[in-house]
Amino acid sequence: MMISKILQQVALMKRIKRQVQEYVYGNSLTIIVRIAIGLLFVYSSIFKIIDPSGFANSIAQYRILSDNLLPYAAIVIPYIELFAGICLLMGFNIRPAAIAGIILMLMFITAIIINLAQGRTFECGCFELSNLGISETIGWGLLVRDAIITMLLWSLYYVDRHPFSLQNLVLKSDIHNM
Amino acid sequence: MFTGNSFKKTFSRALLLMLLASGTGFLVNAWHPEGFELVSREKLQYETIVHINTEETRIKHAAKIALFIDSRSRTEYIQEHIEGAVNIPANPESLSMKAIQEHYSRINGPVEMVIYCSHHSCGLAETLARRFVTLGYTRTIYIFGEGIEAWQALSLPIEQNDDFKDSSAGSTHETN
Repeated sequence: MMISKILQQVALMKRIKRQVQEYVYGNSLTIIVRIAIGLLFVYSSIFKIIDPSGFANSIAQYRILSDNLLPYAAIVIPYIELFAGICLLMGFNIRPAAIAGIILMLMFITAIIINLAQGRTFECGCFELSNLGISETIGWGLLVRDAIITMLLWSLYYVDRHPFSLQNLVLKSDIHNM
Repeated sequence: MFTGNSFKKTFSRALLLMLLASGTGFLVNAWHPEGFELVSREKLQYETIVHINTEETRIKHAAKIALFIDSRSRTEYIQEHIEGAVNIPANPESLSMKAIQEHYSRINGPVEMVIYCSHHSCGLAETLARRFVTLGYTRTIYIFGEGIEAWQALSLPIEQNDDFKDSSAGSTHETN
């Protein structure tokens, strides 16, 4: 009884390990994660680019940046999102894009934690998902979601091969021409 | 190749990506119809300083709603000044502060401040206005840029000291 349970667990661990190996080697899950995060970044950046003052207002809610720094943040952040998103989506410079994304996400997470600690709640305006009917009110759920996105970006950093990406295409043609 | 092996290289690429993105952001902002107007902190700090022309100054003077401040030196003020004006020299700072203390109640009263000096290129009015802002004056400060020369040219009310009148006339003749 005990032994069979342990064996079951070992088998499960092996399966997880195998999944992770496959993920790192590059399987369909790798593609899905990369493209999903890329799309999320591009999607959210477009709304911020179209309406910069609206985005500045939502940063202002966090009460972290002073008023004269707000426009600079509102100018810079959407484009970092856009560029990182495009890189992830098209599949080139994936590691740098992942790092840029992680830096952004860590900034968002810090901002959310600071405001949660002060007990303030409001629409965060992070990914503009309210346009799709998904509530984005500041809270633990949002923190967990951002943490998951950060982890996924981090995992993308360790992936050796990204199938269905530009850099893989170039790699393949290089090997072909050798 | 696209994927650098060392973390350092990748990180610098990430920074480059962010820099490129920021550059694009500022470039697009310049053309964006709803873009931000980026102003220097100094400009923002002194945004309460407003320059007005002779006509606006004349109206304020006639309505007696403004306290006129002569930012030139004491001697120049005694020679001639706009009717009802007080003297707060912009330079040197010690004299300026002393004069501000002297006229403190009037400055803080329910009046608008109009600062002037001799003519357009005279920077004393601006210096004094900025001093008021740094001292914490938050209401609008008006600068009559064209100065007392334009005021005199339109023969608007001025106060003159006769003792100095001749000597000042003489000096202007000399310079001419």
